[in-house]
Amino acid sequence: MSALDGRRAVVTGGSRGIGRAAAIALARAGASQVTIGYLDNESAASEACRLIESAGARAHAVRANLAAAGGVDRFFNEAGANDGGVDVFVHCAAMAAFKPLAETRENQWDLIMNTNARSFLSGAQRAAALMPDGGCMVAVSSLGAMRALRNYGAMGPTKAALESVVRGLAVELAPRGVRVNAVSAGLVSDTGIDTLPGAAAVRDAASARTPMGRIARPDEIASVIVFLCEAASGWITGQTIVVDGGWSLV
Amino acid sequence: MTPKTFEDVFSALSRLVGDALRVDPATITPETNLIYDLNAESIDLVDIRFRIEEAFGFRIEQREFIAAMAADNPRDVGSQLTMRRLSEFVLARTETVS
Repeated sequence: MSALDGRRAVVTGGSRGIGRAAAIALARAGASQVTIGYLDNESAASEACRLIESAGARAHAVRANLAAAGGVDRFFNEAGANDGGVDVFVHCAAMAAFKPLAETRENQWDLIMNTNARSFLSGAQRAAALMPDGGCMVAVSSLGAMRALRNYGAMGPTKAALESVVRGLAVELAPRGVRVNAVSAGLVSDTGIDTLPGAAAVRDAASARTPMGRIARPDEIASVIVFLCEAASGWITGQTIVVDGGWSLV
Repeated sequence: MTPKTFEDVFSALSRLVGDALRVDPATITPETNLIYDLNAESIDLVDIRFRIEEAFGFRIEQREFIAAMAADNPRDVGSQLTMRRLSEFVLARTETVS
C-alpha cells in the first residue's frame, strides 16, 4: 500500500515546474486522482496529464485564471465535478514581475497578490469544504517571504502573506485533523525563471552561493510536498519548510 | 458586453487599459502604443488580457494574443502593440463569439 493510496489531489499551477512535479509525485505516492489547474498552456497541461497517468493516477486538467474574481470557484466547480472530493490541496500557481518593489504598480500588485496569495486562501476554503477530516494542504512559498531579494518585486510580500495564511489555517483546521504547511524553495530549474532575460547569470549566481553547489530540480521540492501530505509528517502543521540546498544559511 | 463597432470596442478598451495602467482614458488614441506610450510591461499585458476576458466574456490564449499583436513582424511585438491593433483584435473576436 502506498502512502497516499486512493487520495484525490488538486494541484494549482500543475502544468509546469514545481506544480507538475508535485502532481506526478502525488500520483507515484498512490493518489488515485490528480486534478491540475493551468492558466494558458494547454499542451503543457496535456503533457502533465499524460505523465500523471503514467505514474498511476487519473488525471484531469482545468483551465483557470485564479486571479479573476470567482476564478477559484470556477476552478473547483469544474474540478469537483469529476472528483467529488479533495483529500490533498497543493497550491503552486504563481505570477511574478521581476522588478524593484518601489516600481511595482497597483495593478501589478493586485494581479500578483491575487494569484499567489488570495487564490490560496480561496482555494483552501473550497478545499476544506470538500475535504474529509485528516486531509492536508501545502502551499509553495519562496525565500523572498522572509528576505529582501533584489528585483523580486511584489513576489516577496505575496509569499509572506501566503505563509501567514498557512499558519492561520493550520490553527483553524487543526481540530479536524487537517494539516496546512508550506514549502519554501530557492531557485528551481525548469520554472518561469528560465524565460527571463539573464536567466543563465541568475542560475549561475544562485548555484555559486548554494552550499550544495547547484539550484534545485522541481522533483526535489515535490518530494517534500508529498512528505507533508503523508502520515509520516502527521505532527507537522502551520510550518514553512525551507528546501534550498542551504542557500539561506550563508 | 457586445460592442458592434470599432469605436465601441476602442472606447471600452480605453477605459479598461486606463484603469489597469492608471492612465486617463481621454488621453488614449487609436495610435497610442501600450508599451512605448503607456509603459506597459509584460505583466501588464497579462493583466489587460485578463480584463478583456472578463469584460468581453471570451477566453484569449496568450499565444493567440501575441500572434495577433505581432502580425506584421513576429520579432517585434512592441512597435505593433497599439490600441488600434488591440481594438481590431477584440472586435474580430467579438464578432466570432456573437
